[in-house]
Amino acid sequence: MNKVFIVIPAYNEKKAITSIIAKLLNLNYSNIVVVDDGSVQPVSHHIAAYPVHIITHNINLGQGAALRTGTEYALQQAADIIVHFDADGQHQAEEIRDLLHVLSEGYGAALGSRYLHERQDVPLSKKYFIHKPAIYFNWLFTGLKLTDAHNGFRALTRDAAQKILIEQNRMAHGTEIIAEIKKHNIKYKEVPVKITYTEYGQNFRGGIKVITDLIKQKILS
Amino acid sequence: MNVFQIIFIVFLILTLFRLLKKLKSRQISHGLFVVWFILWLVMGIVIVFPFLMSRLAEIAGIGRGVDLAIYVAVIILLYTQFKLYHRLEEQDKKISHLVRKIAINNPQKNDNSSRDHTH
Repeated sequence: MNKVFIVIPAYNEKKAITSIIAKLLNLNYSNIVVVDDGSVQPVSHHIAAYPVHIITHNINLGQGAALRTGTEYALQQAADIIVHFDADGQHQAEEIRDLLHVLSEGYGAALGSRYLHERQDVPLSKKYFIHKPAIYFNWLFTGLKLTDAHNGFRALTRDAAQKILIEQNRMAHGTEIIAEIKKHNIKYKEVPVKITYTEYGQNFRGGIKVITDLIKQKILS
Repeated sequence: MNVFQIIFIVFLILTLFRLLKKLKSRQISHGLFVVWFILWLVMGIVIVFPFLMSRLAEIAGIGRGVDLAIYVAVIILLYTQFKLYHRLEEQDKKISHLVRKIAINNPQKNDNSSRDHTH
């Protein structure tokens, strides 16, 4: 039996996260790692009643760093599979099963894609001003052309997770993970997932920030 | 000597005193002290004897002494800016590493009923 760890980066999350955890536990995912990324009000206050692992960054570092911490911790706890899951209710817990299924077919990484999902309504502004440019940008940067560049829902085998190194603290880690997958020749497959849109998520300015972060890293390293 | 030169010389002397004080209280290293000291000294010499700069500019093939001073200043500023940026990035990485390490070493595991800390 594979030991599956669900890593949830959380920053100032309140309501959504408790229902997400309840749902995951209900689906028998018992190894849940919540990484509190320096929230003003500790996330642990809201989820004290749930049997989860809570890892706390004393200061806010960004989602990329939180994922890295959570992944590293899960590896330490002898995880066989690591699933990255959002804290704001965008992802569907039921679909973890689909990602795990792909890994069981011998893939190293299963990447969620909202554009493979037939009934997904993506807001048009997001589709054409953020996602589509991001896909081409990632293609330029990494050489991999995915249908959904910035989907944070993914599952990795232990082997893949050990190879993938997230250096980008903030939001540019999405591109970075794809670059790492390409670099280490990790066998990957995109899996259709449904995204529930919340008021959060990446806006155009956030997208520009991601691009500048990546360019800075390319130039300076 | 014109007003600008006098003001600058006073400023220079004050700065050198501050530099010395910093060295005495060990706020800066000897190496850094020497670098700053030479830099300020050269600036002082150039201000008091501007013709030196013009001569240097002529040798370097640049029209005016002031132009040469500006070029050199821009290059030094850009270089320090770059160094500073790099240092900040490094520091950022170190802080991240530290915060992540502390986090991983102090997980909080919730049981259904009680909490316990494991290290």
